Formats: sequence, C-alpha cells, structure tokens
Amino acid sequence: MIPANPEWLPAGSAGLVALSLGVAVLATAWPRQAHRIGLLGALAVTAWVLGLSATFLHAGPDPETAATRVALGGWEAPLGLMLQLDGLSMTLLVLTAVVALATSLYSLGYVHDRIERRQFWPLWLWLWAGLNMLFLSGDAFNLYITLEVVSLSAVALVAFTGTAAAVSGAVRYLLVNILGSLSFLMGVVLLFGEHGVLDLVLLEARTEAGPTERMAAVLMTAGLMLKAALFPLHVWLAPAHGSAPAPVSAVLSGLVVTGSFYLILRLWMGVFAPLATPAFGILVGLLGVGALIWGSLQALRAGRLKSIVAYSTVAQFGYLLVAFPLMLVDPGAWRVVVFFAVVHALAKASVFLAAGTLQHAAGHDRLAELGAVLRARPRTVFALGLAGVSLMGLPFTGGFIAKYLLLEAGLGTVLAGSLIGVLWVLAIAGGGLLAAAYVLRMVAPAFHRGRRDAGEAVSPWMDWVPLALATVAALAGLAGVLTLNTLALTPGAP
Amino acid sequence: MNGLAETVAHTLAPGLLYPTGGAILFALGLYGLIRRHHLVLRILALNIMGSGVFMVLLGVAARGEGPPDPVAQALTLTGIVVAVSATAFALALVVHLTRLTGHAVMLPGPPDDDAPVEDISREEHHADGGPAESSAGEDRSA
Amino acid sequence: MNALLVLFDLVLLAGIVGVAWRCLASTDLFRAVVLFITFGLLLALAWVRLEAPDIALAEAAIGAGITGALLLVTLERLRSIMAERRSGRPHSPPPDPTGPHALLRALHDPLPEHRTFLPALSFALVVGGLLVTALWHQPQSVGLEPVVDAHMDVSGVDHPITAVLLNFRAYDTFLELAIVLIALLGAWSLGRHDLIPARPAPGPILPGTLRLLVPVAVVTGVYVLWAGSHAPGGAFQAGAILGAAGILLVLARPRQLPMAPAGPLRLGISAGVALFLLVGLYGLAAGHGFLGYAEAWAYPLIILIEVAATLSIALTLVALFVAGRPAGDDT
Repeated sequence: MIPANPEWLPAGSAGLVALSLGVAVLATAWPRQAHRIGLLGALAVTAWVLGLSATFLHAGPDPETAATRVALGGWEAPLGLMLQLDGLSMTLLVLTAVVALATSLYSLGYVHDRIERRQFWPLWLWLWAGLNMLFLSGDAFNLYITLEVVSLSAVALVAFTGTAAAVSGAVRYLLVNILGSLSFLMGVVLLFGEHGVLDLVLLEARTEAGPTERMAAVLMTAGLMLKAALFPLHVWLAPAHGSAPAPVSAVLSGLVVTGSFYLILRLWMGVFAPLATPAFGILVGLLGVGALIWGSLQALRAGRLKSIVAYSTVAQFGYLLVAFPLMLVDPGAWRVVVFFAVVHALAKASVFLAAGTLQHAAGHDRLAELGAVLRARPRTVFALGLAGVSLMGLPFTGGFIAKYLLLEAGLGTVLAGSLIGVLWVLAIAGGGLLAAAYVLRMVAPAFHRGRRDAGEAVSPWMDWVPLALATVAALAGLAGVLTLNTLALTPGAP
Repeated sequence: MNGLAETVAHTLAPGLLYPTGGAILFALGLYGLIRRHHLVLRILALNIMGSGVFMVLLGVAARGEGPPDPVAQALTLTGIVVAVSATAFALALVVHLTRLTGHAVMLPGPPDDDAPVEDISREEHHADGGPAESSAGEDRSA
Repeated sequence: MNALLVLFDLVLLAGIVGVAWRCLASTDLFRAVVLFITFGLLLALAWVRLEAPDIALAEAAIGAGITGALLLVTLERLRSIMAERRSGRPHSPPPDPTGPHALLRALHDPLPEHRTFLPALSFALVVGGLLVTALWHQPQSVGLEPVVDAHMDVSGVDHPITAVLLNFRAYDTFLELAIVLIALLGAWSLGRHDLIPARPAPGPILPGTLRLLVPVAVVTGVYVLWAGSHAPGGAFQAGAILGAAGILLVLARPRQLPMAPAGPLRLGISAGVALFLLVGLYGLAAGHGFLGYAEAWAYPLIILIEVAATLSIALTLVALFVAGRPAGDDT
C-alpha cells in the first residue's frame, strides 16, 4: 500500500474536473460510442473519486488549517479561480459518484434505442461533470456557471422523452432555473460591487451584516431555493421529476436538488454567516414545516407512483429546512443535516429507479393498476420498500440514524429552553409518520391477493441496480461515523 | 447648497446611475415574467432581467476613478453568451411544445400531474427492426 | 461634471427602460421581438458609454443579432405550426381544445387579467427598491483592475479582457463554451430539424446582397478574432459574426439545406472545448496547473484556442438557428 500523500490532493481535484469533462467532451464528439465511453468514464470517475477520498481521509487537511485550494492556471485568488476541496465537498463528491454510477448502469438497460442512446449519454455525462465541478468550485461567479451547466443539461434530460408532459415540464423547469440563476447572479454582482472579489474565502473574510449582504443573501438563497424546489418555491418539481425518464428523475431528486441545498448551506456557513439570526432560523424552520406537511399530503393523494416520489422530495427537503434553526442553536448540527441529505439522496434515487422498473414492466405508473406487476416483481418491491424504510427512518437504516441525530439536536434546543423547539421535534417525528404512510401506499398493493403479471421483460440492470442502491442507502448508517468524520474536516465550519 | 449640488453630482455619476437603471430593468423583467403568460414573452422578460444584471455589473465596474474593471467586463461577456445559449434552448423547447400541444402558453397553477407518461425504455419492444425504429425517429421530428 | 453627458445618460436610460416596458406590454409577439432587438442595440450604446466596447460588440452581435434571429425564426415556426394545425392535415395532432383562437394565441398574447396586477407590481417594486438601496450604500471599490493590470505582462496578450477570459479565468470561459454546446445538445435531443418554411423565389436582391455581405462578415469576423489579443474583440464576438453570416446563408438558401455530414459536424461543434481541454491537460501535466500555460507559450496557445472556439461557436450558433439535429446524426 502506497502511503497517501497530501500533496496529491490539489492535482487530484483538478484531475477529477479534467477527467469528468474529458469523458463528456469525448462522448459529445463521438456519439456512436457514447454509451461505451460513458460506462468506462463512469467507472473511471468513480474510481478517481474513491481514490481521492481515501487520500483525503488518510492525509487530509488538519481541520484547523485551510482547505485544499487549487489555483487553476496557476493564478491565485483574487485574480484567478480557485477549486476548493474540504470535508463537505468530499462527502458530496462521493455521494454523487455512488448515485451516478448506479444511474449509469441502470441507464444501460433503460435507454437502449441506439438513436436515443446517442442523445442521452453526452447530456448525462455533462450533468455529472457539472455536479462534480459545482462541489469543487470556490468562486462565486464560477458557481453561477457550473449551476448553468447543471441546469441546462438537467432540463435537456427532462425533455428527453419528447412527450407533451415531459416537454411542458422541461419548459417550466428551464424558466424557473433561469430565474433562479439570474437571482443568484444578481447576488454575486452585489457582493462583487461591495467587496471587489469573487473568491468565497476572500469574500467570507470581508462580509459583515450590511445592506449589500442582506440583499445578496435574499437573492442568492431565493434563487437556489427555486432551483432546489424548496417550499414554497416548489411548483415545478413534481411535473418535471414525474415526467422525466426514471434515471433522470433519480439524478434530479437525488443529486441536482442536493447540489442547490449544498450551496445554500455553504453560503450560510461562510459568506452569510454574520446574517444568521434566530428570527431568520425560525422563519426558515416554519417554511420547512410547511413543506413537510404540504409535500406529504400531496404524496398521499397523488395517483401516479413517480408523482408520489416527486412530492416526497418536497417533504423530505422540509426536514433540511427544519434543521436550520437547530443549527443556529447547536452549530455542530450541520453535519447531521448533511448526513441526512446524503441518506435521502441515496434512498430517493433508488426509489425512483425501482419506480422506473415497475413503470417499464407495467407500461404505466398508475398506482391503482400496478398491483399485478408489484405482486410479480418481489425484487423491485423489496428495493422500493428497503429504500422507503430508509426514507421513513425505521431503526437500523441510514435514515433512522439521520433522523435520530436530528431529533437529538431538536431535543437539545428544547432543553436549552426554546419553546419553538417543541415544534421542530414534533415536525421531525410527525414527518416520519407521514413518510411511513406514503411509502406504505406504494408497496401495499404487493401484499394484496390477486393476479400476478410480471409485464414486459426488463433488463438485468434495471432489475438489480435499484436493489443494490437501496441496500447502500440502508447500510449508509454504518458509514455514519465515517461521514461525520469526513465532514469534520471542513475548515472554518463549526 | 454646496452639499446639495454634491449629492446631485454623486447621484448622477454613471457609477450610480447605471446600476440604478439595471435594478429597474431587473424589477421590470420580474414584473413581466409574472404578468405575461406566453412563453416567448416570458423568455423576453428573463432576458431583460439578465440585461439588468449586466447593467449593474458594468455600472459597478465603471464606478472607480481609473479605467473600468476588466474582470467585470469579462464576466458580462460570459453572461451574455450563457444567456443566448439558454434562450436558444428555451425557444427550441417552446417550438417543440407548440408542435405537441398546439399552444405556447404556460398558465400559472399546478399542472395536471396525473397525465400519462411515455416510457422510452419500452420503445424497443414495439420497434425491433430497422423500419420501425426509423419511424420512431420520424415521429419525434415530424 | 459634464451636464451634456448626464443628459445623454438620462435620456439613454429612459429609452432603454421605455423600450423594455413597451416590449413586455405588447400583445403582438412580432412587435415585442422587434422592440427587444431595439432594446439590445440601445444596450450596446450604453455599454460604449460605460467604456466597455468589447461588451458593446458582443451585445450587438449576440444579444441583439443572434438572439433576434432566433426569436424571429421561432415566431415563423410557431406561425407555420399553427397554420398546419388549422388546415387539419392528416398527420397533425388533434386541434387545441382551448378554443377557436388557437392561431391567434400562437403569436398574440392577450393582456393579463387584473387579478395579478397589484401583487406583481408590489413584488417588483419591493425587489427593485431593495436592490437600489443596497447599490446606493456601496463604497467606491476599485475591483480587480489593479490586480489584472499588475499581471498583464505575464498574460501573453495585451488586451486585459482577453487576458481575463483566456488566461486568468480560463476555466469560466471553458465552461461557457461547454454551455453553448450543451444548449445545442439539448435542442438536438428534441428531434430532427424541420426546415424553416422556404421562401419561394427570393428574387435577385437577396442573393446579390448576400454575395456582398457574407464575405464582408467573414473578413470582419476574422479581423475581430485577430484584434482580440490587443484591442476590443475576441473569439465570442468573432464567432457570433461568423455565425450571423452562416444564418444569412441558411435563410437565403435557394433550396433544401444540404445534408450535413454528421461526423465532421459533431467534431466541429466540439472542437473548441476539445482543444481547450487538451491545452488545459497539457498545463496540468507540465506543472502550470489545469488550464495554465507556460509564459512563453501563452500567446500562441491562446490564439489557437480562440481560433478553434470561434469556429465551434459559429457552427453551434448556426446549428441552434436551424434547431433539431441533422438527419445524418441518426445513421
């Protein structure tokens, strides 16, 4: 075993960007081989990320010192652009690699028409590259550009099936995304006008609670909330996610939405930290409770399998908002929130992939008529249930540990004498019950008596990948300590 | 009196006048985006908002005494190219949507999420040969 | 302070805001698009006033020119789709259930109901007011001009904006090229291109004008590209001008578009990013950092990247105008 060398981290980060971009460019230029390039590229990028994370954990930065920063082109900030690798970005890069690899393998079975394959793979590889670059970016304007790479390729993938529902979902998604990007960019421009720098670390050192910071915080947070479909700006989510091809829905709900959330967290822990007041926390927390209730109710009455899953994303992200007031009381709680987001992304992606398999087999995803297929496909139903259990937060799953830690943080605020803390605790506990209700709605028909009909044959990839990813989500609890330790290597964060 | 003249001079300097104009354009675009329903008009509204952002950025860059900030100008150039790309893609989507549904209007309110969805993973089973496959391609371009 | 300049600023800004307002308030889409193009040209004037000739050039070529062409061809397409639906051709989808005014609704948008007037107005006023407040409280920061100025001698070029775009912040520019490409991939994924309704018998004037205009556009484009290293200009403006020449050719074509060879077309649109990435990788391997250059090699490498980027941008813009992928891409 070669000893890990911290000197590798800068080259490793730049190399990751270059590798994921190279795969995307190659697939664009040579679409006939795009699926082969994509598969090899997916394996290579995943291996690279895992190698990078191993190096990071063994020889990572001392949490007291600065993060690994890479000056692109050799130009240091403020002149140049910096990449930034710390515990938070490392965790999300690993999450992205796991979900994206599973999605790639699933897509081998799902997108098999040779003409569609040529359109699908380049866009999907650009989306993945965009996510990797988003998590590594350390510059406010560069964040805007990477966000655009992510949103344009995501919208194109939503429209991919070319049906009326998909295209109208895509148009809505695109307009919302452009509005979100412009709002974000206006915030960046305000910060640049006040402080004359774009680098996040330099900005963080200069910001205080002034009118520029307040307005920039409002614009950037609102823009990212639009993109992440956080309540009450969630209107586009269900139609876009529900009508997209299954692997695309999985990536949108699992990774793209998480990417926006990551940025909100990153900004509020850094540049906007001076603005975080208890009143702000309570406001965000109330929004979270609203999202939790509204999303769960919609999920309980939706008629289509993928709509249920899409609305549950609104509900689950309510949790992340509820966590904001907890973070203000207990600054260390942010790591629990990220861990929750990671488990959610894994579980949600596997639910969408399983739903895609069922939809393929049955030819539709109307819940009322899915019984026969559900009864005949125990493997997929098991994947759906296992990931669902993680979403509900039943004991011994990753979701349980995440919710337990959140509850613990919530109780901590109650003990600290905050009355509104009771509301957060109730929301966290009640949200789990609502999740149980809609997850049961999805799998219950499998346990009724009745006709069994496996429907159309599905490829082995579509059969096994959802189960594998659901298992990873359930076992993520075992990696909880590892994740929290990785996150602890985020310099500057509490 | 002198103080008043100074305030007026300060307000009318391009470094403040143009950012103010940019903010007005941003708000105007936002208003149009909410009010108008036709997708082409909504795209125009977003473009006007974007121009507002660029005007603030360039105005801010011209605020100092010396030559304007080249970084701000480079960022604006990048922003304009991103805007035209997003616009081109959005217009392609609008044309496609009109072809499918017969209208290019996005009404407010939640859409019907129980509408049927086509599943691309199934296409092979209907079209397993050469001619059928090419007809699937024709359908999407026709 | 120059009172005349202030007057100019005020009139120009009032004109820009007024045109934008008329554009967003019009019920006729064609009128809105023409006003939007005017808006772009007025903006270019404002950028000149703000000492940003590069941006003015880009705004005129891209913001007004290319965007305007894209908008106009979109209206043309919407009109022909609606006309086809109305004539009830056998292969067209069933008529729009939303009413008999389908054709009208494709190119006209009735003024919105009053219900949304007050909420929208107050929301926009609050956002605009807060923005202005924040901007008026900002100090006279110098920005990054001194930093860029101090590094110009090692950048390889003499024009600060080109230095920022292709050296100091080359990563942003790389991703910008990627975004243009992704937009095209997205448009291509929607289906094959349908031809812009052919204009029967364009007459002698159009081809004659084109014979004159296209070479001029090509020479201008090449000049703007070359000038970029020491004066306003560069790859994006040059690409837009060449793209505009290509769009003119597509518009005035006598008959069907020739079938584009799929392989070379794919290579052409990705040449810019591919070459940029290769140079970046070389920088990483040679120890100058990803997307970095050795000082002595900066100038030739920047020019090389700019030439490839210009060609890719021009090709991509024409392809975006044609929309849809060429049939050759599916064989």
